[in-house]
Amino acid sequence: MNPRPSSADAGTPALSIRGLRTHFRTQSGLVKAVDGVDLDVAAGECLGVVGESGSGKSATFASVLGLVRPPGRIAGGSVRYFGRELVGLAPAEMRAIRGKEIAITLQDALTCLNPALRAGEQILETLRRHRGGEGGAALREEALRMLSLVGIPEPAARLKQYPHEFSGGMRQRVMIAIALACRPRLLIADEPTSALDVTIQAQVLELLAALRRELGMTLVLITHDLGVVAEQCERVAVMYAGQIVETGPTREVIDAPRHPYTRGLIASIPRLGETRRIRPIEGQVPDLVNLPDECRFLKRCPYARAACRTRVEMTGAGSGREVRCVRADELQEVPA
Amino acid sequence: MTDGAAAAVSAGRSDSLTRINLRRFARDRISFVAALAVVLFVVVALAAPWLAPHDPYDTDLLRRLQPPGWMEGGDWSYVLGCDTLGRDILSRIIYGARISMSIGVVVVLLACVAGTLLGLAAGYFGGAVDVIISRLVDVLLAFPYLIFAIGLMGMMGPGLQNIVLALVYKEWTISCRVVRGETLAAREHDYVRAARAVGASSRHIMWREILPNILSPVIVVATTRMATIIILEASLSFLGLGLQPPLASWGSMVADGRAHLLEAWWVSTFPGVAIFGLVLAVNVAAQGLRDAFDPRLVR
Amino acid sequence: MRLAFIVERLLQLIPVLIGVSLVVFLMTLLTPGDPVEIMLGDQRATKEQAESLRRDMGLDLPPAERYARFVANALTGEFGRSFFHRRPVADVVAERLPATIELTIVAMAIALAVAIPLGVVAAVRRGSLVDKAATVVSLVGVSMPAFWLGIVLILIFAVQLGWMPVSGRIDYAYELPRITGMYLVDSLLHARLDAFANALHHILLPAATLGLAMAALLMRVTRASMIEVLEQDYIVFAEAKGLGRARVLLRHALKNALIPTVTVAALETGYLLGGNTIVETVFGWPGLARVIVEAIYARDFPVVQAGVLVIAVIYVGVNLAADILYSWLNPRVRQ
Repeated sequence: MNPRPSSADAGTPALSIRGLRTHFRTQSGLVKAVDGVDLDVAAGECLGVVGESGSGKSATFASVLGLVRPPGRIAGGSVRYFGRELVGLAPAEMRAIRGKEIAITLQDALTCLNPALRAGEQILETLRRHRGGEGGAALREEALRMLSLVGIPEPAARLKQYPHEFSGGMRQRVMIAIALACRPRLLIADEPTSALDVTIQAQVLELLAALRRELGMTLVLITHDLGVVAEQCERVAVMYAGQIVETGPTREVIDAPRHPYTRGLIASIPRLGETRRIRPIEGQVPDLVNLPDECRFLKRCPYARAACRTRVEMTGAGSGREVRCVRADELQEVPA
Repeated sequence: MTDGAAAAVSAGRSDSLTRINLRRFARDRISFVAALAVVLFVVVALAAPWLAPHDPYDTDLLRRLQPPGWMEGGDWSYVLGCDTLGRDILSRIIYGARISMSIGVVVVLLACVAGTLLGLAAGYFGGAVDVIISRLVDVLLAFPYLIFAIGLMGMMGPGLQNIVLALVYKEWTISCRVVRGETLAAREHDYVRAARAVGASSRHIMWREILPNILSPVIVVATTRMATIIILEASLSFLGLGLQPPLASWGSMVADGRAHLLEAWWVSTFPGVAIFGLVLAVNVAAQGLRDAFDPRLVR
Repeated sequence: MRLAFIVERLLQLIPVLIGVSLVVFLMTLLTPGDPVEIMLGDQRATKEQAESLRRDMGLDLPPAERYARFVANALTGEFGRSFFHRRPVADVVAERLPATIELTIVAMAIALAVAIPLGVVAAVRRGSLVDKAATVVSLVGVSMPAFWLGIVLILIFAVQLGWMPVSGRIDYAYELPRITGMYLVDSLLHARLDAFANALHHILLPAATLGLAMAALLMRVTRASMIEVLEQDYIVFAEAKGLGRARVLLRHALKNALIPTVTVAALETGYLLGGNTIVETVFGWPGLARVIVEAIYARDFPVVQAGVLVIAVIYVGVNLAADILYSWLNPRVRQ
């Protein structure tokens, strides 16, 4: 097996997660939603995090921001933001970071915006919280500037409107505006396009890319859509059942996936001009409560062997690539 | 999968949703105990002649306002004391259970039947039928419950029959609204469209297709309303507008004791405890039933 | 835009009011026997007197005309004459109505003041001891018949402990010239704090009795609604912005969570109005509801009719106010 490469050398990573474990206590037992995640996000890059529902991708980044609520809790691990440890941080300090340094946007803008408050109020709220000293007029200017930045026409009028008066795409932009109001260095976008029409999706992704360039922001794009990742992200991390199973430069991972799950994902995407059948991945996500000591993809993996019945760790698989698969080297030769 | 469904599947038979929910209800210990308490009340009421230590109508002025057994001057054979006419309070409470509960059941039954029929008609036929029924419901609901009931009782006069009527006249609106809403929703479902496409008559559709599917919310409403009706009947009796002597409901017993609160608090207190106990048990059991049948509460 | 909404609602009231007046009128037709005879009762009256009374009350007219007369009279506030009180019914109603309104308002205030904080705390500390205790208290509150609760409270606080007066609205010593008829308001308008305190002291027990079941219900509604609100994405998003817990609770959660509470409270005012019959009787409170009950005993039908009509109309008005309040709280409804 190849030894794991040392962590990024060019400057401190924006985000450095080591051994993160987040558990939820439910009536059926302890759900290990995030079970030992190691991840680095370099400053200024765009990282895509791919996985189906239940893979733990949202829970991982909720943990980063300390937004995990009972019955969930962070059971262990470390999260460093530009070197600063976030796990176990005092609540007041965590609150100072949220919105100002690290911001998050969630999937459905309709449910994220308080229906009873005007849009302007919801932007100004963040500004007042983190830049309170600057005075009302200055903050209002900033809010208007943000709305223009995200491409909302007539921002002054929009400030006074309620969320339900906006269209879907515009709501998403408002949410982005709120998230970026205080110019955070890291934006985590959780399924930014899943609730939108295809044409609007493209616009929002364009917007995110442009903002990234302008503000020099680090962006983490959480999605189940590989197409989005292929377009926007330099690197991608694939998650399955609470663990990361593969990471690497996007182009390489998509062209030559090493983990059987990634292969399955890519194979199940319909492609223009292809005549072969789409092969879905058989089976279901494992029960996250009773996880045996074996590869979690075992029951659905077409390449499973007896050797897979053991705890599998991430191992290096080429420059900047890692895979969690015992047979990764062998399978390199097998066509997808 | 829920535990119940999984268990059923593994046992090799398919359980109806009702069975599964009932089992969930049984596992909620507090509600189950409450349901047992209600059953106990029913049993006591039915077995009154055998359970009551004395004749509830037996007056004896010598025992007038006699204190309960554990107090000075009391007699353990008249354990809860005696009322203004020397009648045994415990026996009166036991027999009173019959009145209070039977009125409750009869009113809820009549009201739910009437409300369901009218609600089905309003929801299914729509148009003029719906408008008339809905207007009627709106107007009736514009009256506070007790005000309406005492107004009616005041005009009609006291009596068992009149109490039942007065309460039913307003109560049917509750189930009618629920059924109308459910029918309106059910009407758009495919199984109704299919039945209509095959040429089934309106009556058949309402009766055989829609009704079985909306029974569940009606039952929930009925059990919830039971407690309210019992309190309403007791309140009407307390005001003296209800039953006439010698018939005694718990409410009128409480009223009887009012004049003697200072020297004989037990005359008003114990019947009140009975009402409170029964209503509490019904409420807790009904709440448990609601929770068990609620598809949104995933266990 | 809002004005159109209000006007629309007002117009919808009219058929309901017509229906209400019709129902009240129909109630009188239910009386078995001759109302005049029942009203005269033991009093020995000549046939001419009975006839003249019958004509006065319009009992000789066909029902349709009687109804028209009834409505026309009601609109001008003419409800006939009360046999029992030997006064115009309108006078009796006007005299006793404020007491009922005052009691209802104070009961509602107590209910809200108890229910909202309790409901919020129970929701925020869900599953804790406070939450479980609150659930128990609310179940108990809903199950307790008001008349029994009132009696028990009197036994404990007035008789045993002597802390509260047993009945009445205010001590005789206080003379308050009448402005609204509501002692709490009038005493403040006259700047007489001692009278205010005394009136408050008297209203506490009856208002608490009336308000308890309401408080129990409202607490459960608030708790359920708050729990639902706290699970919403916008709460998580608000926290993700770095806002403090208190601000999130008060600014984001409460406004949304209180909508059901307020609407239910307004709708259940009917329960309070009806409950007045019980509480006013138990506490000897001289309100309109008690007048109706007394009128029933006394076979004083015009009073019963007028009382029921007035209270029903008030409740209709409260429902309208609730509708408008709801639309103000929930911006989405306004369109």
